[in-house]
Amino acid sequence: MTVEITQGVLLTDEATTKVKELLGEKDLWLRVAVQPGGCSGLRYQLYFDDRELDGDVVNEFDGVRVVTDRMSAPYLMGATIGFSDTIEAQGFTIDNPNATGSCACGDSFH
Amino acid sequence: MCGVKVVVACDAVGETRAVHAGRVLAQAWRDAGAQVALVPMGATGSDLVTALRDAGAATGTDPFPTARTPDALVVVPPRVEQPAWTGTSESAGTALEAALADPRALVAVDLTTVPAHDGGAGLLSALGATADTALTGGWGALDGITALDLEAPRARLAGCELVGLVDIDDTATPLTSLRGVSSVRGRAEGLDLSEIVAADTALGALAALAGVDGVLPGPGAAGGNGLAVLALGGTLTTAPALSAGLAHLDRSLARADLLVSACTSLDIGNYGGPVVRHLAGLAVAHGVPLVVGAGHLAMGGRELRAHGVEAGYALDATTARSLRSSAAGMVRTWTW
Repeated sequence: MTVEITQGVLLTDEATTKVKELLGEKDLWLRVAVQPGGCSGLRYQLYFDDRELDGDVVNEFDGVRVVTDRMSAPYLMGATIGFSDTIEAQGFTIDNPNATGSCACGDSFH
Repeated sequence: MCGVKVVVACDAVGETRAVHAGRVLAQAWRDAGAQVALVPMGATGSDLVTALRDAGAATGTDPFPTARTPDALVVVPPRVEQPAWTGTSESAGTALEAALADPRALVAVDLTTVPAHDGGAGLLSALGATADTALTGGWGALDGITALDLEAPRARLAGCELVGLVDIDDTATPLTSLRGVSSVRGRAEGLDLSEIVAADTALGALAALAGVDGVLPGPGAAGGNGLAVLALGGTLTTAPALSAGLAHLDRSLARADLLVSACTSLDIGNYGGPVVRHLAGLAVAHGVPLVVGAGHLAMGGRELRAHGVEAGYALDATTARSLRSSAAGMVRTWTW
Protein backbone atom coordinates (compact mmCIF):
# COMPACT_ATOMS: atom_id res chain seq x y z
CA MET A 1 0.00 0.00 0.00
CA THR A 2 1.40 3.37 -0.92
CA VAL A 3 0.72 6.36 1.26
CA GLU A 4 0.80 9.66 -0.52
CA ILE A 5 2.27 12.40 1.59
CA THR A 6 0.91 15.76 0.58
CA GLN A 7 3.35 18.63 0.62
CA GLY A 8 2.11 22.12 1.07
CA VAL A 9 -1.32 23.55 0.55
CA LEU A 10 -3.99 22.28 -1.83
CA LEU A 11 -6.34 24.48 -3.85
CA THR A 12 -9.79 23.36 -4.97
CA ASP A 13 -11.04 24.10 -8.46
CA GLU A 14 -13.41 26.74 -7.09
CA ALA A 15 -10.62 28.47 -5.21
CA THR A 16 -8.34 28.29 -8.23
CA THR A 17 -10.96 29.95 -10.40
CA LYS A 18 -11.59 32.65 -7.83
CA VAL A 19 -7.88 33.39 -7.37
CA LYS A 20 -7.42 33.69 -11.13
CA GLU A 21 -10.32 36.10 -11.24
CA LEU A 22 -8.82 38.22 -8.48
CA LEU A 23 -5.32 38.15 -9.93
CA GLY A 24 -6.28 39.09 -13.46
CA GLU A 25 -3.06 39.68 -15.36
CA LYS A 26 -0.91 40.23 -12.27
CA ASP A 27 2.02 37.87 -11.83
CA LEU A 28 1.63 37.13 -8.12
CA TRP A 29 1.67 34.13 -5.79
CA LEU A 30 -1.05 33.20 -3.32
CA ARG A 31 0.78 33.10 -0.01
CA VAL A 32 -0.74 31.16 2.87
CA ALA A 33 0.83 31.70 6.25
CA VAL A 34 0.17 30.81 9.86
CA GLN A 35 0.90 33.24 12.62
CA PRO A 36 0.78 32.89 16.37
CA GLY A 37 -2.26 34.56 17.89
CA GLY A 38 -6.00 34.47 18.09
CA CYS A 39 -8.03 32.90 20.88
CA SER A 40 -7.09 29.37 19.83
CA GLY A 41 -3.37 30.05 19.36
CA LEU A 42 -2.79 30.21 15.59
CA ARG A 43 -4.31 32.23 12.74
CA TYR A 44 -4.25 31.98 8.97
CA GLN A 45 -3.10 34.73 6.65
CA LEU A 46 -3.95 34.71 2.94
CA TYR A 47 -2.55 37.35 0.62
CA PHE A 48 -0.95 37.91 -2.74
CA ASP A 49 2.80 38.18 -2.78
CA ASP A 50 5.44 38.72 -5.44
CA ARG A 51 8.35 37.15 -3.57
CA GLU A 52 9.68 33.68 -3.02
CA LEU A 53 11.38 33.34 0.36
CA ASP A 54 14.17 30.97 1.27
CA GLY A 55 12.63 27.62 2.20
CA ASP A 56 9.19 28.31 0.69
CA VAL A 57 7.02 25.30 -0.22
CA VAL A 58 5.45 25.94 -3.63
CA ASN A 59 2.58 24.17 -5.39
CA GLU A 60 0.91 25.09 -8.65
CA PHE A 61 -2.74 24.57 -9.52
CA ASP A 62 -3.71 25.27 -13.10
CA GLY A 63 -1.31 28.16 -13.32
CA VAL A 64 -1.97 29.52 -9.83
CA ARG A 65 1.11 29.33 -7.58
CA VAL A 66 0.43 28.75 -3.89
CA VAL A 67 3.34 29.31 -1.56
CA THR A 68 3.88 28.67 2.14
CA ASP A 69 6.85 29.88 4.18
CA ARG A 70 9.15 27.47 5.97
CA MET A 71 7.77 28.22 9.44
CA SER A 72 4.12 27.85 8.46
CA ALA A 73 4.52 24.75 6.27
CA PRO A 74 4.40 22.14 9.09
CA TYR A 75 1.02 23.51 10.17
CA LEU A 76 -0.43 23.48 6.66
CA MET A 77 0.58 20.11 5.22
CA GLY A 78 -2.42 18.85 3.32
CA ALA A 79 -4.59 21.85 4.14
CA THR A 80 -7.13 22.56 1.41
CA ILE A 81 -8.17 26.05 0.43
CA GLY A 82 -11.63 26.22 -1.05
CA PHE A 83 -13.99 28.94 -2.07
CA SER A 84 -17.67 29.16 -1.18
CA ASP A 85 -20.31 31.52 -2.42
CA THR A 86 -23.49 30.26 -0.77
CA ILE A 87 -25.97 31.71 1.62
CA GLU A 88 -24.19 29.94 4.49
CA ALA A 89 -20.62 30.83 3.68
CA GLN A 90 -18.94 33.34 1.44
CA GLY A 91 -15.27 33.57 0.78
CA PHE A 92 -12.18 31.42 1.03
CA THR A 93 -12.23 28.45 3.41
CA ILE A 94 -9.42 26.36 4.84
CA ASP A 95 -9.87 22.70 5.71
CA ASN A 96 -6.78 21.80 7.69
CA PRO A 97 -6.21 18.20 8.86
CA ASN A 98 -3.56 19.50 11.27
CA ALA A 99 -6.00 21.61 13.23
CA THR A 100 -7.23 19.83 16.34
CA GLY A 101 -9.63 22.52 17.38
CA SER A 102 -10.79 26.02 16.67
CA CYS A 103 -12.63 28.78 18.43
CA ALA A 104 -16.12 30.13 18.13
CA CYS A 105 -15.03 33.19 16.18
CA GLY A 106 -13.68 30.87 13.50
CA ASP A 107 -10.61 33.02 13.28
CA SER A 108 -8.03 30.85 14.98
CA PHE A 109 -7.11 27.23 15.50
CA HIS A 110 -4.61 25.11 17.34
CA MET B 1 8.57 27.88 73.01
CA CYS B 2 5.91 27.02 70.46
CA GLY B 3 8.34 25.11 68.29
CA VAL B 4 6.80 25.84 64.93
CA LYS B 5 9.44 25.81 62.21
CA VAL B 6 9.13 28.74 59.84
CA VAL B 7 10.98 29.57 56.64
CA VAL B 8 10.86 33.24 55.72
CA ALA B 9 11.60 34.03 52.05
CA CYS B 10 10.49 37.48 51.02
CA ASP B 11 10.51 39.57 47.89
CA ALA B 12 10.91 43.31 48.22
CA VAL B 13 7.90 45.11 49.69
CA GLY B 14 7.68 48.55 48.13
CA GLU B 15 10.91 50.39 48.96
CA THR B 16 11.87 47.83 51.61
CA ARG B 17 14.44 45.40 50.31
CA ALA B 18 13.71 41.68 50.40
CA VAL B 19 16.19 40.68 53.10
CA HIS B 20 15.25 43.66 55.31
CA ALA B 21 11.56 42.76 55.10
CA GLY B 22 12.49 39.15 55.77
CA ARG B 23 14.49 40.07 58.86
CA VAL B 24 11.56 41.99 60.36
CA LEU B 25 9.13 39.13 59.78
CA ALA B 26 11.65 36.52 60.92
CA GLN B 27 12.19 38.38 64.19
CA ALA B 28 8.44 38.67 64.72
CA TRP B 29 8.09 34.91 64.46
CA ARG B 30 11.14 34.31 66.66
CA ASP B 31 9.65 36.55 69.32
CA ALA B 32 6.53 34.38 69.16
CA GLY B 33 8.67 31.35 69.93
CA ALA B 34 9.17 29.89 66.46
CA GLN B 35 12.36 28.51 64.97
CA VAL B 36 13.05 30.55 61.87
CA ALA B 37 15.22 30.19 58.77
CA LEU B 38 15.63 33.29 56.59
CA VAL B 39 16.26 32.80 52.85
CA PRO B 40 17.42 35.63 50.58
CA MET B 41 15.27 35.76 47.44
CA GLY B 42 15.38 37.83 44.28
CA ALA B 43 12.71 38.30 41.64
CA THR B 44 15.34 39.22 39.07
CA GLY B 45 19.09 38.76 38.77
CA SER B 46 19.62 42.28 40.05
CA ASP B 47 17.31 41.71 43.01
CA LEU B 48 19.11 38.46 43.78
CA VAL B 49 22.50 40.20 43.81
CA THR B 50 21.08 42.79 46.20
CA ALA B 51 19.53 40.12 48.43
CA LEU B 52 22.72 38.06 48.58
CA ARG B 53 24.77 41.14 49.43
CA ASP B 54 22.28 42.15 52.14
CA ALA B 55 22.58 38.62 53.51
CA GLY B 56 26.37 38.91 53.70
CA ALA B 57 27.70 37.84 50.30
CA ALA B 58 30.90 39.47 49.18
CA THR B 59 30.67 42.45 46.87
CA GLY B 60 34.31 42.51 45.85
CA THR B 61 35.71 44.84 43.23
CA ASP B 62 33.83 43.54 40.18
CA PRO B 63 33.23 46.09 37.46
CA PHE B 64 29.64 44.84 37.09
CA PRO B 65 26.96 44.09 39.74
CA THR B 66 28.07 40.74 41.17
CA ALA B 67 27.43 38.80 44.34
CA ARG B 68 29.70 35.99 45.47
CA THR B 69 29.30 33.19 47.98
CA PRO B 70 31.91 30.49 48.56
CA ASP B 71 30.25 28.29 45.93
CA ALA B 72 28.48 30.63 43.56
CA LEU B 73 28.56 33.96 41.82
CA VAL B 74 25.73 35.89 40.22
CA VAL B 75 26.59 38.61 37.69
CA VAL B 76 24.14 41.07 36.17
CA PRO B 77 25.30 42.69 32.91
CA PRO B 78 24.44 46.39 32.86
CA ARG B 79 21.12 47.10 31.17
CA VAL B 80 21.57 48.20 27.57
CA GLU B 81 19.16 50.43 25.70
CA GLN B 82 19.23 49.13 22.14
CA PRO B 83 16.66 47.91 19.60
CA ALA B 84 16.43 44.20 20.37
CA TRP B 85 15.85 43.12 16.76
CA THR B 86 19.24 44.36 15.57
CA GLY B 87 21.05 44.21 18.92
CA THR B 88 24.05 42.14 19.98
CA SER B 89 24.41 40.23 23.25
CA GLU B 90 28.15 41.03 23.40
CA SER B 91 27.99 43.18 26.55
CA ALA B 92 26.39 40.28 28.44
CA GLY B 93 29.41 38.19 27.54
CA THR B 94 31.78 40.98 28.54
CA ALA B 95 30.25 41.09 32.02
CA LEU B 96 30.39 37.30 32.32
CA GLU B 97 34.02 37.26 31.15
CA ALA B 98 34.93 39.84 33.81
CA ALA B 99 33.23 37.80 36.55
CA LEU B 100 35.17 34.69 35.50
CA ALA B 101 38.38 36.38 36.64
CA ASP B 102 37.42 34.93 40.03
CA PRO B 103 35.18 31.97 39.22
CA ARG B 104 33.02 29.81 41.43
CA ALA B 105 31.62 26.31 41.04
CA LEU B 106 28.30 27.84 39.96
CA VAL B 107 28.33 30.88 37.69
CA ALA B 108 24.99 32.57 37.04
CA VAL B 109 24.47 35.38 34.52
CA ASP B 110 21.32 37.42 34.05
CA LEU B 111 20.36 37.10 30.37
CA THR B 112 17.49 39.60 30.46
CA THR B 113 19.34 42.91 30.77
CA VAL B 114 20.81 42.95 27.25
CA PRO B 115 17.98 42.93 24.67
CA ALA B 116 19.26 41.28 21.51
CA HIS B 117 18.19 38.95 18.73
CA ASP B 118 21.43 37.14 17.91
CA GLY B 119 20.98 33.81 19.69
CA GLY B 120 23.65 34.86 22.17
CA ALA B 121 26.28 35.00 19.42
CA GLY B 122 27.72 38.21 20.85
CA LEU B 123 27.90 36.67 24.31
CA LEU B 124 29.76 33.66 22.92
CA SER B 125 32.13 35.95 21.04
CA ALA B 126 33.01 37.87 24.21
CA LEU B 127 34.05 34.55 25.76
CA GLY B 128 36.31 33.72 22.83
CA ALA B 129 34.07 31.89 20.37
CA THR B 130 34.86 32.31 16.67
CA ALA B 131 32.97 31.64 13.45
CA ASP B 132 33.22 32.19 9.70
CA THR B 133 30.89 35.17 10.04
CA ALA B 134 30.86 38.07 12.48
CA LEU B 135 29.29 37.12 15.81
CA THR B 136 28.84 40.64 17.17
CA GLY B 137 26.78 42.18 14.38
CA GLY B 138 23.33 40.92 15.37
CA TRP B 139 21.44 38.17 13.52
CA GLY B 140 22.01 39.85 10.18
CA ALA B 141 25.75 39.26 10.40
CA LEU B 142 25.15 35.52 10.92
CA ASP B 143 23.88 35.11 7.35
CA GLY B 144 25.68 32.20 5.71
CA ILE B 145 27.37 30.94 8.87
CA THR B 146 28.81 27.44 8.37
CA ALA B 147 31.38 27.10 11.15
CA LEU B 148 31.37 27.88 14.87
CA ASP B 149 34.21 27.21 17.32
CA LEU B 150 33.20 27.10 21.01
CA GLU B 151 36.45 25.62 22.30
CA ALA B 152 37.65 28.83 23.93
CA PRO B 153 34.45 29.63 25.92
CA ARG B 154 34.13 25.99 26.97
CA ALA B 155 37.69 26.07 28.27
CA ARG B 156 36.98 29.38 30.00
CA LEU B 157 34.09 27.77 31.86
CA ALA B 158 35.80 24.49 32.64
CA GLY B 159 34.88 23.33 36.12
CA CYS B 160 32.01 25.79 36.38
CA GLU B 161 28.31 25.09 36.20
CA LEU B 162 26.89 27.85 34.00
CA VAL B 163 23.36 29.08 34.67
CA GLY B 164 21.43 31.65 32.67
CA LEU B 165 18.73 33.65 34.47
CA VAL B 166 15.54 34.28 32.49
CA ASP B 167 12.04 35.47 33.27
CA ILE B 168 9.58 33.09 34.91
CA ASP B 169 7.30 33.03 31.85
CA ASP B 170 10.16 32.60 29.39
CA THR B 171 11.80 29.36 30.45
CA ALA B 172 10.27 27.23 27.68
CA THR B 173 10.47 29.56 24.68
CA PRO B 174 11.79 27.92 21.53
CA LEU B 175 14.36 29.73 19.41
CA THR B 176 13.08 28.86 15.95
CA SER B 177 9.91 27.83 14.12
CA LEU B 178 6.50 29.41 14.28
CA ARG B 179 6.54 29.93 18.04
CA GLY B 180 10.20 30.90 18.14
CA VAL B 181 11.58 34.32 18.97
CA SER B 182 11.90 35.54 15.40
CA SER B 183 8.32 34.68 14.54
CA VAL B 184 6.80 36.04 17.73
CA ARG B 185 8.93 39.16 18.06
CA GLY B 186 8.93 39.90 14.34
CA ARG B 187 5.17 39.64 14.02
CA ALA B 188 4.64 41.70 17.18
CA GLU B 189 6.74 44.46 15.61
CA GLY B 190 4.93 44.13 12.30
CA LEU B 191 8.06 43.17 10.40
CA ASP B 192 7.95 41.78 6.89
CA LEU B 193 7.74 37.98 6.62
CA SER B 194 10.92 37.90 4.54
CA GLU B 195 12.87 39.46 7.42
CA ILE B 196 11.26 37.14 9.97
CA VAL B 197 12.14 34.08 7.90
CA ALA B 198 15.70 35.34 7.36
CA ALA B 199 16.21 35.88 11.10
CA ASP B 200 14.73 32.47 11.88
CA THR B 201 17.03 30.85 9.33
CA ALA B 202 20.13 32.60 10.69
CA LEU B 203 19.39 31.66 14.29
CA GLY B 204 18.52 28.12 13.26
CA ALA B 205 21.90 27.78 11.57
CA LEU B 206 23.67 29.11 14.66
CA ALA B 207 21.77 26.69 16.90
CA ALA B 208 22.57 23.73 14.65
CA LEU B 209 26.29 24.55 14.70
CA ALA B 210 26.10 24.88 18.48
CA GLY B 211 24.52 21.44 18.78
CA VAL B 212 21.22 22.75 20.11
CA ASP B 213 17.78 21.99 18.64
CA GLY B 214 16.24 25.44 18.24
CA VAL B 215 12.70 24.10 18.16
CA LEU B 216 12.87 22.68 21.66
CA PRO B 217 11.78 24.72 24.71
CA GLY B 218 14.46 26.95 26.15
CA PRO B 219 16.96 28.35 23.63
CA GLY B 220 14.61 31.21 22.78
CA ALA B 221 14.57 32.50 26.35
CA ALA B 222 15.65 36.10 26.86
CA GLY B 223 15.19 36.88 23.20
CA GLY B 224 17.45 34.02 22.15
CA ASN B 225 20.30 34.70 24.58
CA GLY B 226 19.39 31.37 26.18
CA LEU B 227 20.96 29.56 23.23
CA ALA B 228 24.44 30.74 24.27
CA VAL B 229 24.13 29.21 27.73
CA LEU B 230 22.73 25.93 26.41
CA ALA B 231 25.46 25.79 23.74
CA LEU B 232 28.05 25.91 26.52
CA GLY B 233 26.41 23.06 28.40
CA GLY B 234 24.64 25.31 30.90
CA THR B 235 21.06 25.46 32.07
CA LEU B 236 18.38 28.10 32.25
CA THR B 237 16.44 29.01 35.35
CA THR B 238 14.78 31.94 37.08
CA ALA B 239 16.18 34.17 39.80
CA PRO B 240 13.72 32.85 42.41
CA ALA B 241 14.58 29.25 41.51
CA LEU B 242 18.29 30.02 41.81
CA SER B 243 17.70 31.80 45.12
CA ALA B 244 15.94 28.69 46.40
CA GLY B 245 18.67 26.43 45.08
CA LEU B 246 21.52 28.41 46.61
CA ALA B 247 19.80 28.27 50.01
CA HIS B 248 18.88 24.58 49.70
CA LEU B 249 15.30 25.63 50.32
CA ASP B 250 14.05 22.14 49.44
CA ARG B 251 15.85 20.74 52.46
CA SER B 252 14.45 23.43 54.74
CA LEU B 253 10.90 22.94 53.46
CA ALA B 254 11.14 19.21 54.10
CA ARG B 255 11.39 20.09 57.79
CA ALA B 256 9.32 23.26 57.93
CA ASP B 257 5.78 23.78 59.20
CA LEU B 258 5.20 27.10 57.51
CA LEU B 259 6.56 29.17 54.60
CA VAL B 260 6.22 32.94 54.82
CA SER B 261 6.75 35.43 52.04
CA ALA B 262 6.01 39.05 51.29
CA CYS B 263 5.75 41.16 48.17
CA THR B 264 4.81 44.60 46.97
CA SER B 265 1.54 43.66 45.34
CA LEU B 266 -0.56 40.48 45.33
CA ASP B 267 -3.27 40.65 42.69
CA ILE B 268 -4.72 38.66 39.81
CA GLY B 269 -2.39 40.41 37.39
CA ASN B 270 0.89 39.32 38.94
CA TYR B 271 -0.07 36.65 41.50
CA GLY B 272 2.52 38.15 43.80
CA GLY B 273 5.36 38.31 41.30
CA PRO B 274 8.07 35.77 40.40
CA VAL B 275 9.21 35.07 43.99
CA VAL B 276 5.74 34.31 45.37
CA ARG B 277 4.80 32.35 42.24
CA HIS B 278 7.87 30.17 42.58
CA LEU B 279 7.39 29.68 46.31
CA ALA B 280 3.74 28.71 45.76
CA GLY B 281 4.91 25.83 43.59
CA LEU B 282 7.44 24.72 46.19
CA ALA B 283 4.89 25.00 49.00
CA VAL B 284 2.39 22.83 47.17
CA ALA B 285 5.08 20.29 46.31
CA HIS B 286 6.18 20.03 49.94
CA GLY B 287 2.72 20.25 51.49
CA VAL B 288 3.73 23.30 53.53
CA PRO B 289 1.30 26.21 53.84
CA LEU B 290 2.48 29.47 52.28
CA VAL B 291 1.22 32.74 53.73
CA VAL B 292 2.04 36.01 52.03
CA GLY B 293 2.01 39.59 53.24
CA ALA B 294 1.65 42.28 50.59
CA GLY B 295 1.89 46.02 50.42
CA HIS B 296 -1.18 45.87 48.23
CA LEU B 297 -3.49 42.89 48.62
CA ALA B 298 -6.17 42.49 45.95
CA MET B 299 -6.90 38.77 45.79
CA GLY B 300 -9.61 36.93 47.65
CA GLY B 301 -9.01 33.85 49.74
CA ARG B 302 -10.37 31.37 47.22
CA GLU B 303 -8.27 32.80 44.39
CA LEU B 304 -5.18 32.78 46.59
CA ARG B 305 -5.65 29.15 47.56
CA ALA B 306 -6.20 28.18 43.92
CA HIS B 307 -2.72 29.55 43.29
CA GLY B 308 -0.92 27.89 46.17
CA VAL B 309 -1.15 30.66 48.77
CA GLU B 310 -2.98 29.65 51.92
CA ALA B 311 -3.68 33.20 53.09
CA GLY B 312 -2.80 36.79 52.24
CA TYR B 313 -2.35 39.73 54.55
CA ALA B 314 -1.94 43.46 53.97
CA LEU B 315 1.33 44.91 55.20
CA ASP B 316 2.54 48.45 55.75
CA ALA B 317 6.24 48.50 54.91
CA THR B 318 6.70 52.25 55.30
CA THR B 319 9.05 51.62 58.23
CA ALA B 320 10.38 48.55 60.00
CA ARG B 321 8.09 49.35 62.90
CA SER B 322 4.98 49.66 60.73
CA LEU B 323 5.92 46.43 58.97
CA ARG B 324 6.27 44.62 62.28
CA SER B 325 3.02 45.95 63.70
CA SER B 326 1.02 45.33 60.51
CA ALA B 327 2.28 41.74 60.47
CA ALA B 328 1.18 41.07 64.07
CA GLY B 329 -2.12 39.46 63.14
CA MET B 330 -0.47 37.26 60.52
CA VAL B 331 2.14 36.11 63.05
CA ARG B 332 -0.44 35.49 65.76
CA THR B 333 -2.67 33.46 63.41
CA TRP B 334 0.21 31.36 62.07
CA THR B 335 1.89 30.46 65.31
CA TRP B 336 0.95 27.34 67.18
